Amino acid sequence: MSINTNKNLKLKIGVLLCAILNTAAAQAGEWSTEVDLDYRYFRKPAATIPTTGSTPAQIAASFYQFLLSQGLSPYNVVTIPQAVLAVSASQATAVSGQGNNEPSVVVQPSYFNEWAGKTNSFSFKPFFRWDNMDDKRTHADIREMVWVSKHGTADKPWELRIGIDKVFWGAAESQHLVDVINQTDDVENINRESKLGQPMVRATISRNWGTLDMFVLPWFRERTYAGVDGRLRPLVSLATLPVAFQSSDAQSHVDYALRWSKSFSDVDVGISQFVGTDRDPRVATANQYITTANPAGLYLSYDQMSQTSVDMTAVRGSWIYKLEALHRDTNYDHYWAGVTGVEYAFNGVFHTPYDVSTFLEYNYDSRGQGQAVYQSDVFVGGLLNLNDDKSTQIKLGVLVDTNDSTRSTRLQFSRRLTDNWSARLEGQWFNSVDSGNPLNAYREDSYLQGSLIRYF
Amino acid sequence: MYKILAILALIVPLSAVAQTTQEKGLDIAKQQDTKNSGFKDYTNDIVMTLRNAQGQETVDYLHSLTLEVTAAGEGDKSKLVFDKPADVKGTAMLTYSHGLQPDDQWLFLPAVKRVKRLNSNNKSGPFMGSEFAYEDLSSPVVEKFSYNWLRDEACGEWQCYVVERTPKYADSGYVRQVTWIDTKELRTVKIDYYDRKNELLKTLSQSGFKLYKGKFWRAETGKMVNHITGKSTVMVSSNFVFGAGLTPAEFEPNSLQDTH
Repeated sequence: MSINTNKNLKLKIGVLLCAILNTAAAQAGEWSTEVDLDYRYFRKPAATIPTTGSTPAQIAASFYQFLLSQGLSPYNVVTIPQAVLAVSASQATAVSGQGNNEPSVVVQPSYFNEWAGKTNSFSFKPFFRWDNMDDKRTHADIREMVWVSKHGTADKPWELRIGIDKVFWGAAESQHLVDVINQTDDVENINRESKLGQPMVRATISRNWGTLDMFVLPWFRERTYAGVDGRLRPLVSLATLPVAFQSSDAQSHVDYALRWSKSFSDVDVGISQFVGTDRDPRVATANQYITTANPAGLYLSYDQMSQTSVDMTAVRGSWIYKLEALHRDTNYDHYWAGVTGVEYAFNGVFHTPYDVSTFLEYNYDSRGQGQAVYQSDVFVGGLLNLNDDKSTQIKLGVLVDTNDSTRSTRLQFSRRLTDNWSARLEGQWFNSVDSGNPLNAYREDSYLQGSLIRYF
Repeated sequence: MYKILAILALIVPLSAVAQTTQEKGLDIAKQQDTKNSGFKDYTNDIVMTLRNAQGQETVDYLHSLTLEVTAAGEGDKSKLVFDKPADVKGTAMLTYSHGLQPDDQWLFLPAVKRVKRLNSNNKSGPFMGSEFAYEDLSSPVVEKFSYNWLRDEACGEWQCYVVERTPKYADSGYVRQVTWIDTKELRTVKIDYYDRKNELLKTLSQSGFKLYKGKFWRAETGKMVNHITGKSTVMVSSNFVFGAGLTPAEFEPNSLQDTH
């Protein structure tokens, strides 16, 4: 990124902030803060290069497979296994910040104010995590800093949002396929539910034909990745790779998105179009990036893409039917992917107040085996809601690759302790991981995480 | 002419007498519905205190927005937003209540900013661990029940109609409810809920009625006591604002992301 564009953006944000704070200052808003004390424990040491019984090619094959899953073309990877070995060996000797115990602390303040008869509001949510093990996981972000204003009449209302905001699109549970506006904060959690704040101007029109959302996204955020000392990373930390953009505008390329959505009585539908910088980077090689630390010249490329997607939810009795599908086009790839499934609820099971929701979903990706995590995967899940005064919930989900039977299991538990304290537990297991599966990068990274959350 | 009048004089009182107890019950429900119609919209704050059999208390704070739907046989649209405890702050539930059709329901999860469609069969499930079931909080629609007037009797300082009503919608946790409605202003003073085994499960007592806009009565306190578990929940509503100027757009699922 050039210094000029950076300055320019900072200036813009500064002006916006001043304008908003001036207006908001007339009335004191409300502050609240959440502090999470996290402890992540990995059962096994990080994956290392085996020293006996494997040829270099075999050793690096898993990473090679991983690169393919990240979009690397098979044609220019002949030299990669050796090169990768060299990098991972050098990263491994710098060693080994990669431990088994990872305490960290999150501080997440939140400010909200509204004025002019609730037609205007401003919210500000910075985010900070300090991590004991991985300095890439120690990071800060502005999740939200947005001014929302309501306009028009009761019959013809529209809404404008300017600032940094988060947007969710989607229907499925096993992955958030069509959700494309915000970049993934991957270093937070590999479940892709943590997102970086996205600078945007968003106009929303509501009529009886539905809701139309128009997005102008003037600034791109790079994905975060676990660093050399971090866990849940492939043999080579993607955070160490140089980054390139297909567009000469780089991060200041302006992206656009349009979404129409409508709720019919028992069906919710959304159709979206996105044109701009792909949030998913592609791993590629180029001579210009070759260094002793990176002999293969690996780099991350953020390409231009266009994506058309649909997401749908339909309710029928105790059943909820879900569908998400997209078609994505880049200069290097064009593919379609989908996830479809059902949710079935058992209310008041065994004469208790407990509710159990069960999930079954199928994921498809036309890029095929080894090229995408969700290329032909079945998801089975359950959510137990105790409906008690502590809001106790237990979630369990298993994703199984139908081709190589690689299994990824996630268990989540949450419960309120007092008015100001909550507890969460999260377990993530990778089982019978095939060497050709993209999840192979995480094969030694099964973990348990406990969190104590204090609200101020 | 005199003949006709004479016949009419005979028929009119006769037809009043001929009204069955079912018709009378339905009539009271309709009157109550008519009396409450035309409010357009209102907002209010809610403090919900959950007490278990040992007397331990949990307090939840919410606020609610309601938009009147005037179409016959349709219920209102409502939005319920959690303010405290802090871990559920900003969580919101949007409900379109219907007559016999299942309600439409959406849940907003602020941490991921996701609007999630809910299965609406969960009528008998407890709301936030309280003694109120979802169906107890659903907006009243005449068509949801069949009615039977039982008797008139004193209820505190007022005189009440005692009307039994039977849910006609699917998945109710109740076989019947007995309601006490004051004869003068048609305020629901008390409801006895009978579970599927026809045992008295819960009693709701409403008190502290206040008149808004000269027409609409709202109870300040609703106390739900569970006779089986000994648990109770007290819901105190305050800061009623009628005619807040809420728009249909504010009750679209998409609007949930604006909730605070």
